[in-house]
Amino acid sequence: MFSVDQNVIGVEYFFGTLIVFLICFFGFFYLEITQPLKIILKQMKALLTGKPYMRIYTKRMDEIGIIAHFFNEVTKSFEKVSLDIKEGKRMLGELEIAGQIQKDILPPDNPKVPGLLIVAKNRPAVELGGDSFDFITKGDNTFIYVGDVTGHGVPAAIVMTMVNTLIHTFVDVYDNAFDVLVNTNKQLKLRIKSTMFMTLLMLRWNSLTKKMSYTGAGHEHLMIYRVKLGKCEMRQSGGIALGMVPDNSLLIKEVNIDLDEGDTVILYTDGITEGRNMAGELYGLDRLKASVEQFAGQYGPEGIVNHVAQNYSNFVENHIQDDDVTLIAVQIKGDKASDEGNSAGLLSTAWNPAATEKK
Amino acid sequence: MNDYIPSITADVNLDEGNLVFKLVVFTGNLDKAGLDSVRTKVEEVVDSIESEKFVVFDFDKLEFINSESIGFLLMLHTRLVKKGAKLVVVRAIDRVKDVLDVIGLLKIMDYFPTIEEFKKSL
Repeated sequence: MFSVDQNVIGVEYFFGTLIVFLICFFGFFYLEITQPLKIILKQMKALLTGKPYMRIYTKRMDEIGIIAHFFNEVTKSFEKVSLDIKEGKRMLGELEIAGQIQKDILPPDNPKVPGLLIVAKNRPAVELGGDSFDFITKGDNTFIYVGDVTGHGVPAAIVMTMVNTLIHTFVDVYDNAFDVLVNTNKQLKLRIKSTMFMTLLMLRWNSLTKKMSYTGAGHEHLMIYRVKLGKCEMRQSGGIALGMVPDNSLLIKEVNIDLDEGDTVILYTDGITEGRNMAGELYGLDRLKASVEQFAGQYGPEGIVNHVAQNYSNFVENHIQDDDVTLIAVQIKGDKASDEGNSAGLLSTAWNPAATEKK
Repeated sequence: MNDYIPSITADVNLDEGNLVFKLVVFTGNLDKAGLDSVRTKVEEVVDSIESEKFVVFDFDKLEFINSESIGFLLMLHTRLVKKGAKLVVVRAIDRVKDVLDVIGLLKIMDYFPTIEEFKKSL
């Protein structure tokens, strides 16, 4: 009996201990594993379903602690990315506004100038471009310029805006391109860092004397299509780019050009000559010259610009161009061309090579 | 899409240079990507000059230069002038020389068709 009782007590003791152990085990399991996992899962569900979630606070260093820490880190990254996206959107919005301001500075339509037919086309490579052009008439003088700031994007757009304002200001004061550009350079150099500059070529047309002159500031060639010869004359624009030296008065000069009725002066930026095709070849000056010679005999300035633009687009195909493109044709109005002048004056300056297809 | 791969190297030729000048030989294209890849190295050369009076850029094997790179040359030249030195360009191929010439850079910077002619000018 004694031994049996001893056995019963032993079994009861065993089961009692087992039950206590199990209660403790499950209690521990619930409190230490299930409950924390529930908290983590609740926050994970909230994250996955797009509901508000909270950071999980724990000092644990075990697997649960790692999962909680991982969740906190992941959500922290999400929050940063989300902030970056918001900031990116804000900056894009501001860039769009800046781009619009720049577009508003460039003349939207081609001007009507007595004695001239002018057609310009411009396409910035990114939201903000470094190319610039304008037509400013003051008294008998009309100033036509094309310019290109180093690089593109925001810094180039700011310099381009500065130069445009300075030129407008000095055209009001001086009656020649030399003084306008000497003073523009002087003011520009004081305000820009030494890696930036702007090449520029300015024409001045006097509608009374019917004389044209050009002043180069380190820009691309001046191209003159001589209608009698059916050929282009190329002249180096000369001078030095604006913003390179504090005083450019000994380095630039205003030069007269003798032009006949029907002759066309072509201005462009290096976005055209440095346009590359899929094979990496440059469009180049020779192709531009050949293209102008091909079309200038058949068309007025609008046709020249549209067909040359189309020729350029056909050459570069789908190769992404990383520079702005500007092309301007200025024709000395002959009797024959007088009708085209009415429509040319209403043309938009936006780049649209497809316009040739409508002809 | 873009099968045109820009490449550039700028080698500092210490044997050729001496106490009077440092020589940097460019090979490839100085376009946007090219400029970014050599900018620091070239700036280090320019900033490291002490007794030398010239930093010579050999453009014999430079095939292309864009306007940003010209702005970079201008900045280096300005920096050297402040230190009492000069940036000199030698042996540019016609296309590159034309660009330097058109922008007016050669009006403020010395150019020599060969290294020998530069040495003779010293």
